[in-house]
Amino acid sequence: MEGSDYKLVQAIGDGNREAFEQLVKRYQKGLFNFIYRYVGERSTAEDLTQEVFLRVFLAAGRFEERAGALVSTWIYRIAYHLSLNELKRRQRFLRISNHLEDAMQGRGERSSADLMEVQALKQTIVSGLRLLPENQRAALLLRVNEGLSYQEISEVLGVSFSSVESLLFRARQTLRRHLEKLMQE
Amino acid sequence: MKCNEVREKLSPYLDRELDQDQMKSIEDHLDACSICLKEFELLKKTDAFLINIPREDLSKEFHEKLVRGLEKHSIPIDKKAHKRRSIRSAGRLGRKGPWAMDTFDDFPPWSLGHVYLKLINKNH
Repeated sequence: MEGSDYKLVQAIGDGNREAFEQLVKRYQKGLFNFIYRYVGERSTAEDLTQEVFLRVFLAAGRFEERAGALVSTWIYRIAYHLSLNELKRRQRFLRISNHLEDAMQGRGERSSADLMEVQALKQTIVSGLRLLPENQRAALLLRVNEGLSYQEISEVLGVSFSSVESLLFRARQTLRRHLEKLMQE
Repeated sequence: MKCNEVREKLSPYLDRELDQDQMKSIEDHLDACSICLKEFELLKKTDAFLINIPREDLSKEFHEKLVRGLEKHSIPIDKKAHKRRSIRSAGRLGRKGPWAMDTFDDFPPWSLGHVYLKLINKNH
């Protein structure tokens, strides 16, 4: 089943499982990677991704009420709030951050000839992401990795457009300084 | 535009989130200022680093788990069974016949199941 996100959500609201499968296929990788990089733990990210899709399935019938909202924004907003709650609930961010580094080092393009370089790159970026406050990290991942516009990010995070600009500016400054520092060492 | 003003706008400039006039002003400034241009190139590199982290695949079990989750939410509900039991019995297993909604005592607070159970409980 093909169709716009909105049509799929409408069909899901009518209980159409094929539409749901299509939507899952469309969003699963991006969503999972966003959550994974945000919360830093693979199994938690997978559970949260599942939870997001279940909520989408259950709430699809009510989506029409949110006129004007994009399906992608809606889905990422659910993902963001679930992930944020998870981080708050567990209050174990430091431990998760360490997991992030460990977990991401051991995965990915293992067959690549320049594996060492890829791993070093991951380590550098991951350690930089750890330095960012959660809202800056979310904004940066949504912008750079998921390609959301500032308006969409503002809807996902529930902040103003200018706040998004500021979050991204500060996130990039921090990450840039981090990379510069590592390159000088 | 001054260098410090430009630098504050380099991030939205990179994202093409400024209006046309601002985009043009910064473009002109970058053509003339090598220091700000270097700063801009560093920001671009930072993004490139982030983009280059390979995306992970979900585990093979993911879809299976998702289907199980869906099945859980789609199990037919025996509403009469609710009236026969108080909330205290919720979650007890081993009874015969159709599963009542309160068999699943792990409804998250947001769910319809949770709200439904609350209402049922209130009526008793």
